[in-house]
Amino acid sequence: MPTKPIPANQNAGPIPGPGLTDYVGASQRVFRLALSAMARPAHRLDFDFDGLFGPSPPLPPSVAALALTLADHLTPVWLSPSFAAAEPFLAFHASAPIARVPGKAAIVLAASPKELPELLSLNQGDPRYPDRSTTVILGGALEATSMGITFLATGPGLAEETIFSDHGLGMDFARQWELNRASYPLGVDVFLAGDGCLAGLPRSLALIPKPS
Amino acid sequence: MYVAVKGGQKAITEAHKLLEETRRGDLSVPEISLAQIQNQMGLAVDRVQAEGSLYAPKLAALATKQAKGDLVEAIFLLRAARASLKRFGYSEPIETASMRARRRVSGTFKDIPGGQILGPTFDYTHRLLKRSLMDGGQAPPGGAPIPIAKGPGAQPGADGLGGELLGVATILEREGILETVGTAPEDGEPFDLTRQPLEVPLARPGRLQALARADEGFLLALAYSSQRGFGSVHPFVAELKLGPVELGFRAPELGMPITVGEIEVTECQTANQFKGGAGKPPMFTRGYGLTFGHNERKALSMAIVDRALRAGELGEAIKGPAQNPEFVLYHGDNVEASGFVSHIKLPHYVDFQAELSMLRAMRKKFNGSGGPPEPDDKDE
Amino acid sequence: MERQRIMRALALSRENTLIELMGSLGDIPPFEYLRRPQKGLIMVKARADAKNQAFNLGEALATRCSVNLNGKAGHAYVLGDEPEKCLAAALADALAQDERFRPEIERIALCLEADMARARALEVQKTQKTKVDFFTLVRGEDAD
Repeated sequence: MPTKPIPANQNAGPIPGPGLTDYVGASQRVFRLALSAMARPAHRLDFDFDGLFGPSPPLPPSVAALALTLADHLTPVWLSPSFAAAEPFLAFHASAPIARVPGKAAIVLAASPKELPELLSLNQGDPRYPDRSTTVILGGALEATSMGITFLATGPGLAEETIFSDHGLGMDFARQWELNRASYPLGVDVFLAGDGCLAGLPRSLALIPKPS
Repeated sequence: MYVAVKGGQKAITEAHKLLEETRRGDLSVPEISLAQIQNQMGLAVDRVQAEGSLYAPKLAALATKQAKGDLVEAIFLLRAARASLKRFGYSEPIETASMRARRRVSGTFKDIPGGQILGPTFDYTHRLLKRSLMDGGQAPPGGAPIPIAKGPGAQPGADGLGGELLGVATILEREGILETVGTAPEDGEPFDLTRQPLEVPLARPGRLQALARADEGFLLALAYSSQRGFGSVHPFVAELKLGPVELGFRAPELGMPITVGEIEVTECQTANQFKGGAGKPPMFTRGYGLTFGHNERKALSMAIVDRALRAGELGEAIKGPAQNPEFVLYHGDNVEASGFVSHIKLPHYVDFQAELSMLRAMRKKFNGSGGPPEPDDKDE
Repeated sequence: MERQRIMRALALSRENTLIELMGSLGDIPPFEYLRRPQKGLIMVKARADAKNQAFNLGEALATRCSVNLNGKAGHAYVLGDEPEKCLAAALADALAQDERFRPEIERIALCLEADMARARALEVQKTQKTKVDFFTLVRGEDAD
């Protein structure tokens, strides 16, 4: 055993706050919710993420809950600039390595569509293992004040075309999303993590901007 | 493929009740406790941990109890439990040189540093059933049980049984007659079978991981076949050791490695004859076996098969199954093997109907038109 | 006493002994959980031929826990499903960083080490009896 002596009063870093109060129960429920979000895309699912935590986490509760459920010691996580302060929290609770560039991340946490890296710059997966592409958790896109464009959503998981609005995604996202979908089966999947709600955009989903 | 069949729910529920009844057995007989299984059936528990690939003695004892003593079923239970748990990370590599060996023997030299320590072994027993162990028999006097595994320990090195016992393999290596295979350190983490699919060719770290969790009986037969000439390995046991080693873990929040406990392992190092080839001089080549718990037969077999699987890199002709990585690695996991073999018990009604029709059509052709009519001889 | 040494003594201790010794501390400051005792796996790495390429042997069940006690973070990782032992160890780790309690924690660590040494000495005694003494193989009439 390497025994370089370390004095007993030295901590490794700032003390992070507590994470999910009931890790096992919460992560099960959040995972199930995430599955539902991807299975029925572009559909807003309500969920009390706040209730999963004691003191507020340093990320929006929906983002934090998803990150703590999905990340582990093998999934490098990239944090967008507004989320940078949450590094110790994630490193402690998820044991997640922090990626310095989005292209090296298994999970990207973006605080808003403005801070979302170009989707093509993310890991697109591998022809034999397309599932190994980056998963994006995008905050700030499902807020009540969102004013994005209206999409017509269609694809696997939707019995019929669905109007998808009440989000903060604009034409730039629409353009990127079309390119993403064109590279199917490669490409990234996106979770829209809002205030008390979640929606999933799997790479197989078509989002067609609808003229208003 | 099998078909999902409805309508059996009630029968299944009743089957579970009956299973629980037979598991418990005669109610006038006291229920077996986990402590009894852990203490008095420890070698069963050790096998379940080794092949379940989870070091968790209490859970392994529970699995053994629940599986009514069917160890492969218990291994399945432990693997399932393991799949539901979060991974904290990878440990520091264990230092078997610092093992507090409670058994340590060598087949290569009589006199070894620290001596030949037999420990608790069946090796020299006469294999006669002991009436004294029967109910009401007089149990032979024994000492207090030797604390194992979870037993705490003082600083290593104090007693000659712990600390740095000079390894027999090291002695041979220093003479230059035992090979060194690869070198530490390497970049990143070694191949992890629990995270990446098994594909051949597979480098030695992946093979060792697969062998460590492989079925003991399978490896035993392969090792035996190899010794008997199906791709021969002529092994000598340089060192066989059993005992606890400390487990270190570098928790990210601590920024330093800490000891989290002790695990018991069985380690076997073999020296094998090698006449030279593939640019290498004649020397002894290595085989390595390592298991959780006390599993000597498994560790020995693993070391023999490890060496056999190195045939390719040593320029040896592949003459037997033990030397064939695809044969060995794909068929060694008894949970996988049991799953596929057992699945044929499940309803294959549609498949079989299809087979039946095809067979009848073939028979009609075989018998020629005008032959005796087949029963139910109409197209489906 | 270095932090690693204290944590080692705590991790290797017998649960009853540790909890009893911690109980002897009397009142300790209130604490809050940073992480409640949580079960998980540590993948055990070993070295091929005991010295060469690392390989993954299999996973070990472990429990971890972290507490915040008066602004000091205490952590513990112990083998097995041991929530109480883990909490006691995390509290001890936090208290060791508090000058008021440090001497007590060091004393506890020494007690635990002594306990371990006693158990080990007994083990060695029994094991040594099984050591082969080759000289006894030479009978009187065979001696040269």
